[in-house]
Amino acid sequence: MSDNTPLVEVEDLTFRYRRATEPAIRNVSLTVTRGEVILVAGPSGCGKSTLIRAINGLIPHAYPGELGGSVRLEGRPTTELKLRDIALTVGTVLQDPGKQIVGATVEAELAFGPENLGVPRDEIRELVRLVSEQAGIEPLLGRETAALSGGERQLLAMAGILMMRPRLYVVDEPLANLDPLSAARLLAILRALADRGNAVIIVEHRVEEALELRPDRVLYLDAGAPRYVGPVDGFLRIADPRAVKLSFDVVLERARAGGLAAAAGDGTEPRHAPAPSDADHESAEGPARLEFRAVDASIGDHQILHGVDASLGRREVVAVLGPNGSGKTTAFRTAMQLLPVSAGRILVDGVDAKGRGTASLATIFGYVFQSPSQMLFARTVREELAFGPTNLRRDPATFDALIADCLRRTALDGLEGILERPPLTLSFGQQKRLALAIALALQPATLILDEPSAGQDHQTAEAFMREVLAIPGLESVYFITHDVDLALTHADRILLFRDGRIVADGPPKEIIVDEARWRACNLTPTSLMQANARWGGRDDGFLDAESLALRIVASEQAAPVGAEGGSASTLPD
Amino acid sequence: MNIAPRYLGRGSWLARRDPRVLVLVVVLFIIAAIQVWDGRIMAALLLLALLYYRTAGIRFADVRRNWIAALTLLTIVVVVNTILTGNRLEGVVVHPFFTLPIIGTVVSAESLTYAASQWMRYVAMVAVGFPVAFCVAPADFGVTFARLGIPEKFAVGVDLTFRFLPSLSVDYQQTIDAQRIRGHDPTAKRGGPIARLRGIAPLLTPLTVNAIAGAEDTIDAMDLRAFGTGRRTWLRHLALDRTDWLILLGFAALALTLTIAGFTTSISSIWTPPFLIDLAGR
Repeated sequence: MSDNTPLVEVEDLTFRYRRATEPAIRNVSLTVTRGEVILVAGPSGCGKSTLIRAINGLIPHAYPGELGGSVRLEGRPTTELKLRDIALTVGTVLQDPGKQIVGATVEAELAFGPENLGVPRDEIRELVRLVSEQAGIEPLLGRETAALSGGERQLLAMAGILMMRPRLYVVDEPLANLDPLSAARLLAILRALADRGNAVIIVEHRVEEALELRPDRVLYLDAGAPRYVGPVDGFLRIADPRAVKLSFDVVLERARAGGLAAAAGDGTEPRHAPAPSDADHESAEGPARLEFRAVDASIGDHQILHGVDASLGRREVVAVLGPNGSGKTTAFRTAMQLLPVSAGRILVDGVDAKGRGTASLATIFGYVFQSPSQMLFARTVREELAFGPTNLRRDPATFDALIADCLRRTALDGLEGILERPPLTLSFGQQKRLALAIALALQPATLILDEPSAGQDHQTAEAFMREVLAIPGLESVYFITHDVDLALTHADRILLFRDGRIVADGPPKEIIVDEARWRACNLTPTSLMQANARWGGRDDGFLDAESLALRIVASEQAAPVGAEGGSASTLPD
Repeated sequence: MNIAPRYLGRGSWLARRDPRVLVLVVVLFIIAAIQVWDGRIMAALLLLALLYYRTAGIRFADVRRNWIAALTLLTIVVVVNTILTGNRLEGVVVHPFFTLPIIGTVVSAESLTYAASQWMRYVAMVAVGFPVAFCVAPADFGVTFARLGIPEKFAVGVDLTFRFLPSLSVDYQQTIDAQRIRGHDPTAKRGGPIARLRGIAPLLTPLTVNAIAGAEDTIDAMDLRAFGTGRRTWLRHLALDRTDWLILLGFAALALTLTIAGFTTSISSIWTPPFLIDLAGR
């Protein structure tokens, strides 16, 4: 094959899944050559995963449906190639690395692909050595894959594909499970692959970080159809910063050009992060809602929490940040009595929670799992929402009004026939909101959200948090996240975890001051953090990108340019 | 995701053996044990099985529930199959203790001896079988079965199955937790067996849906790495050392000896202790 032959040619691709009524993707065309990096962006459900399946051959080989147009790999239609032949050219990293890993140990996982291709044993061993060094996963060799953290699994899934030495790397939301430092490492690997003459197609919601990969072109999909294909500059001019997370300097430029207000369709009033409607931040009044006193906890033989001490107020929005596997989720699972405490005490409203039982705590805490499907089991949405109140022996006469209220608060009430729909037929975003509605049906005083933005695009995640924080009657929200900007813009207080310990606890502006500590927790300063530090008011909380940009533009229009910190066209390092 | 099975015997003398030895010992031991009905020989086999199990280095605390489940099940099977039905005792002269009401089965010195022998056989088989589950490294299941001559796709299937069951157990626990945070504990001990079953029934839907979705993702992941498209190699190289051969030869000799003895001696007949016959006679 000549080096000029495109690796992939997608021509007028349209695909409808067998049981679907509408195509998941329509009229998409894309050509990828060696050395290129293509960023595929777009909101949830825009057809990104379908495009990936068409390129890696799962469509039509594993997913039956109606296929229009063509996909050619190095000039040959994928319909005529076997999956084995496609796997030699295309390496795919799936969205959820946990589902991709089939080996029981790190070595077994790395070897799986080459073993299937019949590569000699000695050659596989040499490949394992080289790839583990390249991916920076040498410390993981010898470990069982089940014991790895989410971020470690993501790197291992990537390494498993590197072992196949394909010419095209297709990577589906690789950053979703990674803390920022691990994300930077993975992007560096992908860039190096492209620089060596391979091609990379990366699908990513975290566009700001993905742009560090210096993509050559961007394919922006919306509702299954291409809205833009071309260089990054053009994409940044047309992308809606409320739909796609862009770096702050881009948002600011858009605001200066007047595009932000137009895109948002609102005025120039800054939008501050909302807070619980009746929050008065009087945490000093009465005992804390949730108090950890020197709490140790283990899963199996592995101790996760080491002497955790924290007191979370009755009227606070608290974000919990930290590296993968640092104990964030474990802390709240112990609080809900889903995991035993091996030492220390947990107090709820000043009373020892030991022996209270999860069911009793459910009247105080509404807990929303990271994966909504794990919470859904009933035949209909109505039954799902009535399940909790029934268990708590609430008055059945009030259920209809309660259910209607919960659906309205979570913006599910507009879906036709929602009450009689089977919950598992809802989209991921709708399931996520239903999980929240389930928690609200218990009328808790405090919500605990585990990764509320996971698997959701920027716009959906932001809207979700705004909806949560605007719920009347809710006293406090505690949420675990890897999304630094989401945490900083919505929380009154940050708990920073590392190695099962709380290493920092305080208001966002205080927490980020110690950059060394921030980086030690695998977090990196975001452009929004830096912009808030430079332009945000001293007494304000963190502003989201649009609000801050609009505020800067408003102040620039009110004062001569340069009067307030000079030109703001670029960000400080 | 798939979860690795518990590798409880890690580092033990038995775990250091070629994993094929552990599988073949089970087969050879079963061949040997099914020849024997004489309780004295069976007791010796049970002792041998327990000694073998001891080399697996599995802490009892880690497998207590497994043992309780296995002993409960096999005891029920033995009681039903021997004492309650009087199976295999046709034509044998029996020394009765009493007759069970309603079903009319005679409980005798011989039926009790038969039950004891059967029970010891099953316990011995469990003791020899547990090390396969707990002393084979999680990554070695596939290659072990492949090198025993089982088709590669099936061997990888066995490997995944060993890891699928624990992952199903994790999903089960997560689903229970999701209900507990809504004020309902499906595992709480209340009501009769039917009430408990009804409590668990709502778990089946999310468990099944998640299991199917997980399996589809695993299939996709394997397809994308060219699984099942040609002859594969295995990174893990298995080689039998001298100790492995000695173990295999020892168990093979045992199986062969007892098979021959089964045809030529009385070890395939029930042997009833005289004191039990005396007791029944009174």
